[in-house]
Amino acid sequence: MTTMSMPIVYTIQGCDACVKLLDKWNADGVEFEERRADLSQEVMDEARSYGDVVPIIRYPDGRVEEGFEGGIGCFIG
Amino acid sequence: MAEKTSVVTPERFGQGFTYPDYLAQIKVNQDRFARYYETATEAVADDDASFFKAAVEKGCSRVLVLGEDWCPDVYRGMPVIGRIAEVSGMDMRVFPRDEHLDIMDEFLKNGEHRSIPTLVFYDADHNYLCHWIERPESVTKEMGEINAAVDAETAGKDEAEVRNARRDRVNARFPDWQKETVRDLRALLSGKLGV
Repeated sequence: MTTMSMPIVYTIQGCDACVKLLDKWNADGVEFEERRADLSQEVMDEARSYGDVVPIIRYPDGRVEEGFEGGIGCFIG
Repeated sequence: MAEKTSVVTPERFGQGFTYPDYLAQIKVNQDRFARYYETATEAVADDDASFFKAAVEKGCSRVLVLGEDWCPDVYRGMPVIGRIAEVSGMDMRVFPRDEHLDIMDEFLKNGEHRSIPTLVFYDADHNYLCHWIERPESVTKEMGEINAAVDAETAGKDEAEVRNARRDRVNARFPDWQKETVRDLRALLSGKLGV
């Protein structure tokens, strides 16, 4: 088992809320790992185990958040 | 929509994926597309097949489908139109939404949302007939009712438990929602073509 040192965010192409989140984090200098759920079944299944709506954020402390600042995320459940 | 200025020319329509070719290149949810094709074959009954064959004979010979493979509305709805095209002889061409946003933006839901699946029907001369977006209104209403019921029944429970309860309840309704989609499409084309 590995320990997370930075947030992991599950995204898909074409998701406005995902783009807004990543733009903000990039502007703020936040380090993160992006995992594209639309590119592999393995990542899609992993994302679904944490939530229904991307962006899905897993923080190192175990918290999970879905969506971004009330924006319209994309339903993958 | 001004059909003469549409970005969907006959040539471009012909560049879309056939349904089998689309399925061959998707990256996720192949199993779900296959599962809901099986239920779609039951949703499109013999009487429905006769209706859509008549619709094709009356001129509705092409359907453009915008979708993305990660979307539940798509892997539930696209197999329905795939089956309809198969039994009726309608020429169906699939365009991944995010690679064809110029097409998508001609058919925004409520003039705002890039909702999928979106189906656009044309005659043999590529004249626009009508289009259909996302899911029947009755299904949207029922989804809201299910969400409210699950929230009430699972208050205070673990998020994963709530999520799984919602998924179980919603997914169990998929076959009936496919039948509702067939009814919705029949009503749309019937009104347009007088079939």
